[in-house]
Amino acid sequence: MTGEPLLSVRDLRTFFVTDRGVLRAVDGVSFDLYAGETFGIVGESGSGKSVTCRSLIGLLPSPPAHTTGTVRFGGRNLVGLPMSEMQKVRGAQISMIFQDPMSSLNPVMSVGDQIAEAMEAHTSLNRAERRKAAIELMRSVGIPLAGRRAGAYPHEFSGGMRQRVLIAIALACRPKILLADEPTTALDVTIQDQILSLLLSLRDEFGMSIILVSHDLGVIAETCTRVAVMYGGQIVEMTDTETLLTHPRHPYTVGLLRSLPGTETGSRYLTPIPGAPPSLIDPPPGCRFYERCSLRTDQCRDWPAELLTVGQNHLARCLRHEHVEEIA
Amino acid sequence: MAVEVADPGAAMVARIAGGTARRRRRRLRNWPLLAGAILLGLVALACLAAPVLANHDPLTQDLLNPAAPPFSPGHLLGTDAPYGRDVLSRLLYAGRIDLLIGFGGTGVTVIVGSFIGLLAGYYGGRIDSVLMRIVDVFFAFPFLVLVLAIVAMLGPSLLNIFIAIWAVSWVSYARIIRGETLVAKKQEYVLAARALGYSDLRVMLRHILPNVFSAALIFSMADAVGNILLGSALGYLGAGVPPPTPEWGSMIADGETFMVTAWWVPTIPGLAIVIVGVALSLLGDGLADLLRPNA
Amino acid sequence: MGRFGFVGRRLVQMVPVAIGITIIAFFLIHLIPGDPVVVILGSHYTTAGAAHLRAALGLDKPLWTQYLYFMGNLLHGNLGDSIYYEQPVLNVVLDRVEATLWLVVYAALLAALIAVPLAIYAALHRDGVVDQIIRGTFMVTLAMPSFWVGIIFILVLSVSLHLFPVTGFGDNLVDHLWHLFLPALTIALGFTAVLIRSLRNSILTVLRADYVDTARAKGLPWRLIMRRHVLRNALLSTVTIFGVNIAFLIGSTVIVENVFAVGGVGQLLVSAIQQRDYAVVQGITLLFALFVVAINLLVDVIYAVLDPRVSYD
Repeated sequence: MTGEPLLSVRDLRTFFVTDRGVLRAVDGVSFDLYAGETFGIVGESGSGKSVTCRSLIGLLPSPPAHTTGTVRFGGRNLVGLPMSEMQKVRGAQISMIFQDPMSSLNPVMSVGDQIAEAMEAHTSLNRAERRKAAIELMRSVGIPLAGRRAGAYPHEFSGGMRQRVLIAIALACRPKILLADEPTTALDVTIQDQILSLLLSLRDEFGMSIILVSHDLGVIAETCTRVAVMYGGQIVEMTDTETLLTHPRHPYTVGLLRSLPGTETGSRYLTPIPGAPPSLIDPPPGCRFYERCSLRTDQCRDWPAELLTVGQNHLARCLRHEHVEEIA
Repeated sequence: MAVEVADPGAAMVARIAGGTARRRRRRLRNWPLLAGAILLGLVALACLAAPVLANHDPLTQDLLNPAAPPFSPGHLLGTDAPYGRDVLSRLLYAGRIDLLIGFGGTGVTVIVGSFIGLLAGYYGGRIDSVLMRIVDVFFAFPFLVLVLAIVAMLGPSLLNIFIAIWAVSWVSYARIIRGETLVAKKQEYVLAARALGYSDLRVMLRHILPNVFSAALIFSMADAVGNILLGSALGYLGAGVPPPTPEWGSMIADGETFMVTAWWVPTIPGLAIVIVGVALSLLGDGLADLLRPNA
Repeated sequence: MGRFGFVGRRLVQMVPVAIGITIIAFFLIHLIPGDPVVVILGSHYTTAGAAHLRAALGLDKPLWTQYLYFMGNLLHGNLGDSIYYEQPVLNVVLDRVEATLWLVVYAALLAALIAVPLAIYAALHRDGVVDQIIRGTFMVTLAMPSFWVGIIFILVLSVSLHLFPVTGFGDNLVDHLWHLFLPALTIALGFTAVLIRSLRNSILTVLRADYVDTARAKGLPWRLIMRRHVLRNALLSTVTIFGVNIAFLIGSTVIVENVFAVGGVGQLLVSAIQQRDYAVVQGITLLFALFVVAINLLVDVIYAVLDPRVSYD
């Protein structure tokens, strides 16, 4: 990686206070994001990947969520930033798109107005100029007949088109970072590819970095240069994509790879990982994957489960990482 | 040998959980249910025991002692004006009428309305359209107005009040249960029952009804409040149970003229209505919490 | 076609309901035990008058024919004659309709004025002390009979404090507003509880919506998000609430008119009952129901205009 990271996350923790106790959704996440790269976060539901994203720009309601740690961006820590400052960052410097395009747009506002609105808080363009810019944005995200369709309402668009609108909204102010939380999960398989290529080409065109969150390792593999695998609120492995796919060093990653249909591991049957993710309310001390791990030993139980450097730019939270290749 | 595993997040847990421990004080889970039931029970018991609790005959006039304020000797709640009748006794006896209207009105309409709703929802199609059209027609009339009109035509009496309420109020239940049935009939347990060849009646009564009835039960509380308000409104307007039978609404009307000099005469019966209404609402909330906790 | 077709289709859908309403109203008279002509004419009974009424109602004909007579009259605006006022029912009603309409609209506006800010506050500070107080207060208000509340208002605000007149309708615009304030408030109190509950729920649902997250991620100030995204969607459902509750509102108005002697249709209804003026009772019942249907149509149209998702086809 060249130069200073654009975004630097250290010891990010987001805990929720619930009736049943404190839920440790994100428990000590650290990573860097560099300019122009696409960084993937992959994990199953409940692994904390979405919460991580939202914590970066403080989108979680503050009770019941509490966030600590450092998110270094533009020379300051975003965690604990007063809301007025955070609102200046959101949309202008860091944007986010969400999972479900069907419900992510206001049903009673026209699409053009919603895109124009994104510029309202951050630019000094007047209404007409914003409108024009919105139409231009609709064109660059590939919505046909943009001029005519700007006045249309979200329900008149298909899922894929709505996601394009949401991308247009996110990119309206040329942010430096785009957070994409499962952007293709709710879409048809055929549309997924279109949206992903759109994201990549826009990344190059606008010169931004993308953090792509997904449970689908296939999506990550296609689009990201570096990946972090999350489990139980923690990063369990982090390295560049190719290394992850070919030389994983954490048993959970192996399990993920194996559950992908038609990967190079060549199995014809989907092999799920037995067991269930740990409760995040009272997580086990030590390795959280212990219960489901086929490589576990007694040593693992007492081990404080830190992230170890297992290669060049390759971290893994596993005591027995050298043996992972045996089960890969 | 167990090793102390360092947990950097533990400090944070302690910090944020500590602040909210206060809020997680043991709150009696479903206090509305309990409070409502007790309150209603007390009122109903008191009214039922009117002959025992009332120390005066509700109709006896005492023209030497009109408009006596509460806590007068022998008259805990005073006497009314200008007749000097004991307010407490009248209150208790009147309560019987009003509670009867509330429960009697609701009791019948719950069953009839729910059954009609069940039929409409289950069979769908033509039957549903016709039944729901009829329901729509009834809903166009303000209930009070229609009940007033029916009682006016039939003549004021307790029975006619019941008839009017029964004729009109069943529609609410029909609508609610029909909606619930439409959802229920797509559930797997219904499909299973039908696949087993159970008769329609059996599926409706023994499989769907127990599941959808909670909605009717919860609504019946609000309906009972409505019926009591309806009955007392009829009494107030002079179109209800004919005098001299005491009824909370007519007591309020009687006392209205003397509002300034004997404020307790119209005020106390109103309070009784409010207390019963609140009790029923609490009961309804409690039931809703109990039967449909995720709603 | 579009919008006009929409309204047209709605009107057509209303026809069966309207017919059903007339059927029920028709049957009201036939509930009267005994000879309806004798009972209707009461103390005004004359043999000639009785014969005339019998012919007018077609009482010697089969039931369905009587209904046709009834419908025929109705379509000519003939709702029968008031025995007491010795005028057509329609005239008697129309004389008093202004006060009632004023009261209904006034009450609805007051209720909205009170309910909207309270519901917003309650939703935003969910389960806080104020929220619970609001909900608790209105649970009690819902149980209060409107006539009782009205009497207490009169006692406290009119008689003791001389802030408002006790009865009547007033002579000009400002006078109307002043005279009708207490009655409108009394009606509104019952309605506000329903409004607050449903609006609060609506807001809470919208607050959880994904598009609110999208708006926040744009970096918009919270006030703007509330106005353009949350409220615009939450208030949409409130429109239908008014439609659904108009019948309830009318019922309350009837009661309150009698408490405050406003001189509207509601007061007429009750006095007609006392005077055994059955044609008036029947006529008012019918008219109220038709009014409710008309309002519901209006509400449907307004909603369709406000919500772009409603298709006119």
